[in-house]
Amino acid sequence: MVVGLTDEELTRYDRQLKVSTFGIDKQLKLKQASVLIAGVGGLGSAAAYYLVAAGVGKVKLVDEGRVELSNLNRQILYSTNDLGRLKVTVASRRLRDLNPEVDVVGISEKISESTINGLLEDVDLVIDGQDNFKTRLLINEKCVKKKIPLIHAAVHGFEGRLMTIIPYEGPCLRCLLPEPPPEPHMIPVMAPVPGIIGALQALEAIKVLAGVGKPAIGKLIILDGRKWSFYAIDVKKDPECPTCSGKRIMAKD
Amino acid sequence: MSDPNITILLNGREVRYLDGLNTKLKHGNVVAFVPPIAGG
Repeated sequence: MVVGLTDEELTRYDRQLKVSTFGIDKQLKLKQASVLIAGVGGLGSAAAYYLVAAGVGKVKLVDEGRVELSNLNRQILYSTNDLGRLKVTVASRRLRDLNPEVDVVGISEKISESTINGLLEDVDLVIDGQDNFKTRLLINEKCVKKKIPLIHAAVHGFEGRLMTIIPYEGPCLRCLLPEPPPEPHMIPVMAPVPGIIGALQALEAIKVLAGVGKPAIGKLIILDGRKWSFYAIDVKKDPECPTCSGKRIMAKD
Repeated sequence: MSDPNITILLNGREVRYLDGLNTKLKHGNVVAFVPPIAGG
């Protein structure tokens, strides 16, 4: 398949095409990529917005939720008029308006053991925008198995975290969370925090897909918005990790 | 024993890769506890 950029695309992406180390060849890589947004909440809204704006070829949105009033302090794809509507329907329309060049697909489905494999078909990268540990660890496990890069992020209050997971190359989410932690209820979130971190997820995705810069592999980025500390800690692969060390697979054989 | 999901840092380095909970502290060291978060 021959893929090029139209005159309109050259204009639309002009400012990023002029970024040093980026350019038409990198833009074409984005155009050929397919990204799954796993959860279109605070993180997923911001990440999807920038990935569609930046010209990723295909963006699959997965979320079974409907827009609620308490979502609107941070989930920037939705408006007050959208209350009660399916998130993926509203988000898809909004994103197609933003950039009709992108193939936006909305899937109103719960991510579970029985749906995850289908959702990951033909996907080059996943944005983790979940709000619980169980689904995050399930997505992590399947991404590792299928060697699909996963941009993990989470928020709580004024805090945000991010780690780029390239299966087997660096640590995975399970290396960070050896035992699935208890699930939190009703997570408080300061409005702009998932916007900041979701935008960083989009930036990481662009770097991984286009092959530019240095993604946060083996780095847990921690933002403390309360006092503006922003730092990275090194995370190593856990040699006993049940997801990516390969030990469980060997034990089965 | 500590909760394995809570990352403990000594001056920005995980104590897991130092001497774990037996890591010796010196005056002026900064210890940080990083519990997991899940919000999206």
